[in-house]
Amino acid sequence: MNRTAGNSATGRRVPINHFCAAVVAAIALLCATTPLSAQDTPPTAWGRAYDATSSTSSDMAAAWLSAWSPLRPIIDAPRGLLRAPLAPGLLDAGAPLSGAFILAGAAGGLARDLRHGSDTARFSEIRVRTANESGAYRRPLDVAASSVMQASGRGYADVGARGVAIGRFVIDQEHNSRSAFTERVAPYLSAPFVVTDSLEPPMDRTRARLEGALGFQLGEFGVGGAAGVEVSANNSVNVPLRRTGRTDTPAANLGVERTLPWLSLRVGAYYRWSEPNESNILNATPRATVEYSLAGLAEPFGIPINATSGASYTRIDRRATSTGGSLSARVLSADIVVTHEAGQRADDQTQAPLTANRIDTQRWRAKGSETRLEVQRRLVRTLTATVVGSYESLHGDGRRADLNGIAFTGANARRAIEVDVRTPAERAWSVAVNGGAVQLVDSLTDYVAQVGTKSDVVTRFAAAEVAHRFGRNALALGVSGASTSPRSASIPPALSRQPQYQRLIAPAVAYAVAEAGAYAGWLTMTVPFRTSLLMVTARAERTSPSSAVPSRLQPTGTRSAWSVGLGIRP
Amino acid sequence: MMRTAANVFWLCVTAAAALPAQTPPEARLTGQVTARGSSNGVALVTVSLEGTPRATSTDSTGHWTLVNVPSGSQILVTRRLGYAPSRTPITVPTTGALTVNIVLATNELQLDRLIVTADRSARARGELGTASVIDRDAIANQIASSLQGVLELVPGVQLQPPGIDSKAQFSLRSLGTNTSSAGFGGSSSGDIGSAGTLIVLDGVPLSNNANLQSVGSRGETVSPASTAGGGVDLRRIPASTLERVEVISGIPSARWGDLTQGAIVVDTRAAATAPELAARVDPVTREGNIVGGRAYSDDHQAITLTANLAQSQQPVTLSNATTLRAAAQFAHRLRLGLAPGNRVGPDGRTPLARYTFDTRVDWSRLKFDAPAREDIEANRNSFTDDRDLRVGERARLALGSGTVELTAAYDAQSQLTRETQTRLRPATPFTDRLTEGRTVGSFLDGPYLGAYELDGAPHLIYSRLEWDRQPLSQNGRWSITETRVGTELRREWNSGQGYLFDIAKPPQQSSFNGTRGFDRPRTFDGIPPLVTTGVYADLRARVNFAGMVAEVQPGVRADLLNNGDWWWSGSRSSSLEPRLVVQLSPRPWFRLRAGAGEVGKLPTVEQLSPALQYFDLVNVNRYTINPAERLAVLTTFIRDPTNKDLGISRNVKREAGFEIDGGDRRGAITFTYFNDALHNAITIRRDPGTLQRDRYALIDTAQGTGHPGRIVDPPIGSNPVPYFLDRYVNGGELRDYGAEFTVNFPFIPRLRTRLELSGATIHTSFATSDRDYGNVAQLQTFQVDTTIKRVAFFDGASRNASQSLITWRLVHHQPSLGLVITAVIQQRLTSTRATTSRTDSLSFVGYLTRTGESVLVPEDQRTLPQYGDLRAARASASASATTQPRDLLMSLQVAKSIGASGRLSFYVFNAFDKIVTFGADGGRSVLSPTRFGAELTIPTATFFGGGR
Repeated sequence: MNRTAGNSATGRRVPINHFCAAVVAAIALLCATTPLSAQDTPPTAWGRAYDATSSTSSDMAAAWLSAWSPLRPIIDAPRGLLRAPLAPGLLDAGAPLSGAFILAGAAGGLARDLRHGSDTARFSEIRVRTANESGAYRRPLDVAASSVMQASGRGYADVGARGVAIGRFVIDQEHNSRSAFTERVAPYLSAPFVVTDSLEPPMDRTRARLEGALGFQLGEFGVGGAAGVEVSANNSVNVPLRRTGRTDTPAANLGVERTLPWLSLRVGAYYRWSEPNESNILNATPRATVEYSLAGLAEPFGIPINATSGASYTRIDRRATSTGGSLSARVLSADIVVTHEAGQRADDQTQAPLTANRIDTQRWRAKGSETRLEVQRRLVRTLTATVVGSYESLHGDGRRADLNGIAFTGANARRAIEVDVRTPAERAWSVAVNGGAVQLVDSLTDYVAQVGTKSDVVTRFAAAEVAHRFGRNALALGVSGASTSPRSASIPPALSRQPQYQRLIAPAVAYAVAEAGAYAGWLTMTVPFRTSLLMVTARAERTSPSSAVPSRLQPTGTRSAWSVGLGIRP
Repeated sequence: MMRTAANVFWLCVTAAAALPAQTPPEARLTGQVTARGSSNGVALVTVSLEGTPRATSTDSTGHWTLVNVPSGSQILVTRRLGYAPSRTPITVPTTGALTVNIVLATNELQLDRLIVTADRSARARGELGTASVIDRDAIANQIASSLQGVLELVPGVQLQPPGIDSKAQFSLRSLGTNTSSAGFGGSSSGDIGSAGTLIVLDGVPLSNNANLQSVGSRGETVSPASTAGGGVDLRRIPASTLERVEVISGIPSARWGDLTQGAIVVDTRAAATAPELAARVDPVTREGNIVGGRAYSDDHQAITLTANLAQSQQPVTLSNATTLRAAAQFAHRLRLGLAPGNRVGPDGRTPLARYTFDTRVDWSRLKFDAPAREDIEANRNSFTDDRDLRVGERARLALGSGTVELTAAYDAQSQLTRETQTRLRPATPFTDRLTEGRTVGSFLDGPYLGAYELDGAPHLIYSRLEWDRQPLSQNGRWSITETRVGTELRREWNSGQGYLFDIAKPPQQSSFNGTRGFDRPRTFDGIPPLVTTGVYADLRARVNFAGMVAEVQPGVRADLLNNGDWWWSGSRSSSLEPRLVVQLSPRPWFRLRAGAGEVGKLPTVEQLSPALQYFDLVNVNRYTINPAERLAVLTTFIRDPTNKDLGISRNVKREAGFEIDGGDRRGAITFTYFNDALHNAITIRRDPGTLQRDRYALIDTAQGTGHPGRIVDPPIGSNPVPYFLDRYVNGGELRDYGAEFTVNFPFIPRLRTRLELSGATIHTSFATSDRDYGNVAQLQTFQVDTTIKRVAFFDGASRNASQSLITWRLVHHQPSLGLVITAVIQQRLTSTRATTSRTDSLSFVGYLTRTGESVLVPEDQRTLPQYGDLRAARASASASATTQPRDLLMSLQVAKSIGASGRLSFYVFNAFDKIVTFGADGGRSVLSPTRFGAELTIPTATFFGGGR
């Protein structure tokens, strides 16, 4: 499976290797000098946050391992909290593979990307993890303090003579000792409709994610399919008010690929589908609350929810599809993969008393595209360099249930570049360095509130890890950091707005354009256990703003997180 | 119908006996058993033909041979300790030899042929009627907390989220209709159907007949955990303890009684079993199970221990209610000697011993606790605690080609229900008198804590003596393959403190009104037992003619409801139940089947001995500001609602269908049409009557005296007060008809995928011969308002339900990976509930006067002016018809083998969680919410030293 080992350089290729190294470095430098930015979870070019849930539950594995997920958001721009980059994963992930399936989940490439009969066992593992996160530097709809127990696993296996299967599961239980002003699991998506209330009760959430892919190589053709489902249930605990909710995200991906007789050229096409939905019930008995339905940047009306009003029911139905193509080639000993997909999204939110017959719907419609590039090359004799770039954009419009016509328009553009350079992990000493930048350009125009926001924010990030092996034992240490700063920002003056805007909207807008930094350190240790390998990981992280802007009602303080995991590999 | 069935029965018996003898064609099965990943044979593997006494063992090279094998679809069962047991469907030719090679694996997920669905082509043991067999592999692959979840593999059963958070009573081939038959409560069609579905656990019927935890008919808060009034709560039976489930939805053999809707025969795990630990977690439920069995003395003895603990916390309520189930089972089997002829025991697998002693001790506890949440509602709490201990012994003696089996079991339960809730009442005259007569009462006024407790202990003694002959040699054109004669004795009773509450603080939710007839506290100790005797005989015969094979199973059963405390007392009610099933196989892959017969259901202890009803009529109601000057005088009347004529309900069942079974490569189709008519189901009838209320003059009633005054005897007059006595009668008509089908599409070897389609359409109609007195509130007003001279009554309404479900089950299996992916989509095509009756203003058929006189009014006179007060829309029967829109529900499950015999499974119930809107007003269809979780089974043989 170790493709780079199979393509080991020879002395004759050294000049070419130097040339390619120069090209890769030039691309990296070129991209780095581009005004980049972004504030995502965590900063990476491997795609948007693949766990659209609270960050405590996000998997700790390297980002590239999950980029194939059929559950990856389609034409959406989830805005997570600022994070330090994940570990390059010298001991638990290895160098990124290359291929359309690895890069974008193009299922037709699965059997080629994960070559049949290769050593895929190194990617199989089961892991348990506990994590904790709290702190004031957050947005109003982010969970204030949470802890999680999580079990996850992934496996790769050959199927018959031509097939490869890959699967992954995550199941976790999260306790929010203090939750957010909403029971929505992922409140910061592109769609500007969120139902909130006036309480932050303690809540429990259980989540399961199950996804897998199966691909076959039939002569020159590769065919494959991937499917996944993520479900979660959450409810308030030990409080005289009941928030109950559930989310359900089924997704599927079908793809086909053909190998052409030139330059190992492969062309493919794929189709992605996902229909996430979320149901929330707020039953304010006996404690009362006030519900606010956020729609864009307008001041929301408060709706008392109490014993008289009965329970309030919110339902969000989303549907997203995209169609894409992929191109892979091997040029000058470098593996190059390009994918492009375009799609559309329709989000409908209904909110009404539970017993109501009439239902009003708020609608968000968006279109967009996503382009990804991966270049991987062996540098000199011991280095593997991987460059990943991505460009995602979407624009959409929202319609309120109480008004006719378009109420607001929004647009998101995200450019990202990431470079990963590492030595082989099998050596006594190994090193990995990666870094890059993400630029996020957002705009939202609210025609009802007659205000808008425009922001252009860059997040630069870097991570380094060093590992040492002692026989079958190994130890890796690493640090990573990210800093975000706005290139430009135009947001409404918060202090002149009304109270609920100031409480629920302004801090989130200010957070998005704040100067801030995040730093993380981790340790990974592997210990042999019979025929298996035990893996212990620990990670600590801290995020804080670099400057205070009280006039924007920007959140202050810090936010910290830690996690400890124990895994086993066959 | 009954006479016709009896005639057909005797005709078949006579015909079978008159047929000439001739040597039948016979087939021979051979093969080799090897281990997965090896070409070496496995020795000492038991190979048996399910449902027949034929069995053999492999030799040292793994080879085996079975002779005299009946043609047609059969299931070959292999079993050896250390390997996963396997079931292989085969189609046996009429003559010649068939070679079947079998590959064993240590993990059932790695078996080449894994059956993870109910097998409609298999046969329940000793049964020719329509049945589905669910074996261990299918049970293990089904995410279920209890038997209820396992039964979802049966066609037409609605999928439910796995868990123990709500009661689980199961009904075969019947639906619940809109409401109960009587305004004051009583059985609904759902209750009758579930009560009439017999659950047999390890040869001993479970029963809910002596469950007296029944409240609510007069307004008490009913615990959601109460299971009185219907069938057995299947939460008591953990799925992880099950070895095999046979669902006899068609005509059961004469062996089974006390049922109307079919029988579910359950075998629990009782053999040498490698120890395994299983745990399941989802947001609502936590469950752990451990099972292990050890064989001793060269397999002559085996002990199996199973323990299960599950907890469910319901998040949708504010009360933090939890349900806890604990269950444990001890099984011991002692086998002495060996029966001649390589016969196998009733489990179809192990060789039959000369003497077999099967001992089972089952203990279970089901507790529901909703403790008080002081921050929500002070002192409101609910608690139910059911405990069950069963001891059973089955002693079997092999005699020649038959066996004599004696089954004896004792079941002791403890059932406790407690409810407390704040009550708020306006000033109400009140008495706590326990005997008939007049008394000076008091007033209930304002809030107080209403509480009650039900403390009962149902007991069951059960025994069966049966002779069963299954000759191995079947020479001749016709042969009797099985003959059974048996008798059953059963005694069920309840004891304990009974229904307890403080009479001064009645627990009823609604306003306290003495004309409705309330219960007083009563002990369960004096309630007479339910004693029954059953006798049955049946046989199975096989006839070969013109290249076809016909099988017939006639039988007859007599059930006797004894009149006294023991079996030697007289008869109170009896029923003779002939049953007949005929099957014709023109080809080995094609079967036609039809059957008809009668089955009977016993009344329950509660129905035979209902509580006395107390009517407290208010003679004086003087309520003043000064409590010392208040005066309430009431007269208590006691009426006994016992119905001496109450007897056995009898259901006439008919069905016909066919099976086409082409095996794995060609697929299979089954279809069954059924029509059940239960003519005298037990329901509640309101018998009207009249009580005389005396009126008194008062003296010394001046205000400010501080005295309540006095009444003057004798009374100055009286007036009649109508009352209604609720009485259990055989007055219900339950009709169920519909069709069931399964289609097993051919297995696709390249994709390792199997698709199964099953479904059912069921129509249920429930009606009573009782009169309907209309709206309950209106009726109460009539009782106490002397200005209302009469009230209309109507013919009983018919309450109907229909439902069509189709279930698609896709199973993808990768033996080399030990991976099974199961996707289930259930489509709801139709689902309606409606009440059928006249609702116009002329729908009344008569009226009841205040003096208790019932007067019928002919149709052509209802428009006359003197009936103007009766002409009104029939409110109680105009319950709105509900029609659910078409919908679908998808569940997904992925199971993966880990280690030697462990497995890890993930499941998502209702994975799409779609919401369906329908109608012009945007109504929403609510499906069961998504439920997801994981299940881990860990082999612990390493720690415990294996299963033997």
